Order: sequence, then C-alpha cells, then structure tokens
Amino acid sequence: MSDGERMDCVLGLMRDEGSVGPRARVQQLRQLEGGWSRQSWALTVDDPDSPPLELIVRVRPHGALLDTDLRQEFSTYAALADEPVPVPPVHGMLDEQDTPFGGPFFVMDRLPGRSPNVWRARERAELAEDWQGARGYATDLADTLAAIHAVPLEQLAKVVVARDFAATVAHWRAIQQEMALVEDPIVEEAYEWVAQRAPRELSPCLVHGDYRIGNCLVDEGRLTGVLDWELSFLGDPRFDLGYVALEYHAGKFTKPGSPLLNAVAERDWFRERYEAASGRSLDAEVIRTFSVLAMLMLCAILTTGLHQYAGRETDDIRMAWTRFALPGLRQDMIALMGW
Amino acid sequence: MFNPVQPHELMLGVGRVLRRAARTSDSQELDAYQRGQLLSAYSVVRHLAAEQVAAAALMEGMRRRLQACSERSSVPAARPALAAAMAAREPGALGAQLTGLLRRLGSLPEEAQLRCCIHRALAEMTDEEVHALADAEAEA
Repeated sequence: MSDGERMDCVLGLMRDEGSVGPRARVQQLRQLEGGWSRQSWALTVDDPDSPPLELIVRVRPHGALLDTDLRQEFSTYAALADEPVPVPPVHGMLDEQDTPFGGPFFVMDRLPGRSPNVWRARERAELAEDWQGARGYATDLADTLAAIHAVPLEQLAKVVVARDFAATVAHWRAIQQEMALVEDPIVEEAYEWVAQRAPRELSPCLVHGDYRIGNCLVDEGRLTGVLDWELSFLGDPRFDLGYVALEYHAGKFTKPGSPLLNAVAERDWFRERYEAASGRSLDAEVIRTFSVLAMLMLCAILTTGLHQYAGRETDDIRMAWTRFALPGLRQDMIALMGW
Repeated sequence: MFNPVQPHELMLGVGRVLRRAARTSDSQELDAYQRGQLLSAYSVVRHLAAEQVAAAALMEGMRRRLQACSERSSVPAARPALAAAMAAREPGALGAQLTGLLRRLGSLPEEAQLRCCIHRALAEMTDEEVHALADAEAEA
C-alpha cells in the first residue's frame, strides 16, 4: 500500500466523522519508532476551513504482539475525554482488517511533548534534574495516577474488560503457558508465589495497566498526556503502583538504572503523594506482590513476541531482542521473592 | 539461561534487517522505525556474543550448585530429576527438568529445604547471567 492510499483513507474517515472539511489535505505522513502491539504514524492535515491538525494514526497490525482490543483502547480514550486525565481527543476508528495501514486503526490528536526513555542515561539525568528542582514530573505522575483510579466506571464498564486479582494472574499465566518456547522454573515459581499472596480486594478502578513515564508525554516540566491504554482493565489499582515501581522502569536492563521510582521520584515521596491524592493507604507487602505480578505480565508479553518471531509471524527484530530483557526481570523477581 | 529462540535464528534475523537496510539506504533516508531496527539488530549481536561467551560457564556453575543441593538433600525421590538436570546439555533441558522437579516438591520440611536450595542456585545463576550480559553494554 502507498502513502497516498493511507492519506486518502485517513481523510475519508475524518470527513465521515466531521473532523475535517472537504478541502483538507494531508501534508506529511511518516511512521514513528516504537510501538510493540501498535504501529503509530504521524501526519499533518491542512484544512483551508480550519486550523491545521497534528495527528497520530494508531494501527493494530496483523501479527501484533498482543491480542488486545483496539476498539477497547479507542473507547477508553473517548470515555476519558471529559475526565481530569490528559489524553488526546480521538477522531474516529476504522475497524477493518483490510486497510492501507495493514489493520484496523484510529486517529487521535498529537499532543505536545515527548515520551522519556528511562533506558538512556542522558534522559534519566534530565528526569533526576527535575526531581532535584521543580518536581513537576513527579507530582503529575502521582496525581494523574490517582486521577485515573478515581475515574467513574459507569461508562468504562461497557468498554473495558474487568479482571480481579485471581483473573489477572490466570490471564497472564495462560498467555505465558501458551506462548512459552522453553520451560522457565523461575517464572513458574513466581506464579505460585503470587497466587499464594492474593491481597484483600479493593473496589475495582480503571487500571492503566502500563503506567510509566515512558507512556506519558512531558513538555516544559509537566506531564501533558497519558498514552498506550491497550492493557487497561477494571481491577485493583495497586497493579499500577506495583508496575510503576519496577527497577526495569527506572532504567535497569542488566545494570542498575535510576534510584528514583520510574527515574522520576523518590519512592517514599511518591507513595505518600499518591496516598494523599487518592485517600488510599498502601501496604508495601501488597505492592511487592503486584510488582512481581507486573513482571510476570512483562515476561508473558516478551515471550509472546519471541513466539511470534520464532514462528515468523513478524520480522521485527525488537521481538527477538527482548530475550535479553528476561534475565534482568528474573533477577528482580527473585530479589522481590527473597530467594 | 532459559531464553527462547536459537542463536542461529537470531543471526538470520539480523541478516534480514541489515539486508533490508542495505536496499533502502541508497535510495532514501531511513525513517525512525528503520533506524530503530538497525539499532536493535546491533544490540542483539552484542548481547548474543556476550551470552555465547558465558554460556558454558553458566551451565557448569549451575551443575555444581545442583550437585551441592543433591548432596544435602534428604528427598531421595528428587535425586533422579536432579541428576537429569545436572546432565542437561542445554538451558532448555535444564529448565524443563527443574520446572518439573519444583512442581512435584511438596511442603514437607525436607522438600522445602531442597526447594530453597534450588531457588538459591537459580538466583546465583541469574546474577551471573545478568553480569555477563552487562559486559555487552559496557562495550557499547
């Protein structure tokens, strides 16, 4: 498929949705780096009848890493439009496999800002500098998470899957077992460990499921957007807290990353800030359980990519590269389990 | 140690990426995705090389730790599985043997003691593996 066909397809969708007029034209279209289960394209639309639009096309390509529902993701963005959570407005979705982008897609605004990469030392240093100074990222990361967990569920309950603790463990374990190419005793033991530590359930909340600074946009010292909602579910909010606390998300791959949580905030400060914003008291032992569960989720996702790579379902070399992320995750799980 | 996808498959993948890059670089500028593929391919080769250098020592170290667990163990029924794990010639077989053994161990004190010993062995092996891979990053 050509870029011309892609541009025509996006414009057709946006005209149908009333987002652009008949004279609108795409000025630039380019595929962005990143995206594991989604591909992203950036485009600029000039419309003589309205201001220019900076847009993102989010595609679920054939052979996507996870069988996550693009419709759910689109509906989540739409449902959050009037909530105090910074998400880009969406402009419509084409829910067909046979599109010029290679799968179904939706269109959303491109918000200002960039996504920090905590695996780059220079970017960790920039985030640490913010922590030493204004603490805008730290404040927004904690407060926005509390805001996500406070979103009313009436609308979301119709579009977002619900999973309690046991269902979350079972969900990722089933994927791990289906996709595993080799048996991993550390992962197996970790599932047993987690299953035996089921916490007392809280009232379900909207859980982002992949909440970290790298899935946010930051601009001029503040958080301007929360992206990548494909793993969201209605469940225990402490999942997000365990996930954001992973050493991996502080920039560890095989060597330690930042001592700051998610390379952004001191751990106790972040917990206290979230507790104050949410009115929820956090138990460190429960967060530890969710951190191991979150790493098991990451292992299941990486294993899925490796399965697809080995089966020639994708030639994205990043899927194979992820095998080198597994040892560090196992090391962190072992540390949290106290072996 | 229990990582899926064989080294030769990875090398083939790297070759495919580099070939694709070679075909496009003359005619047009690489976009962000293509550049990301090249950088990932580069990272794969580096880590793979480090893994290959360390692989034999990691297996031998694990075999010695399991030998120590076996000598200290008072669970006779576990000895055949431990022996099979020690005899494993590649990480996949080692992982399968240990997964099966750990699954069969119950909660009796001697079983818990053996489980703890195997956990410690896996922890030390993982630390060594991560340390070996970190060498690849040091050379970047």
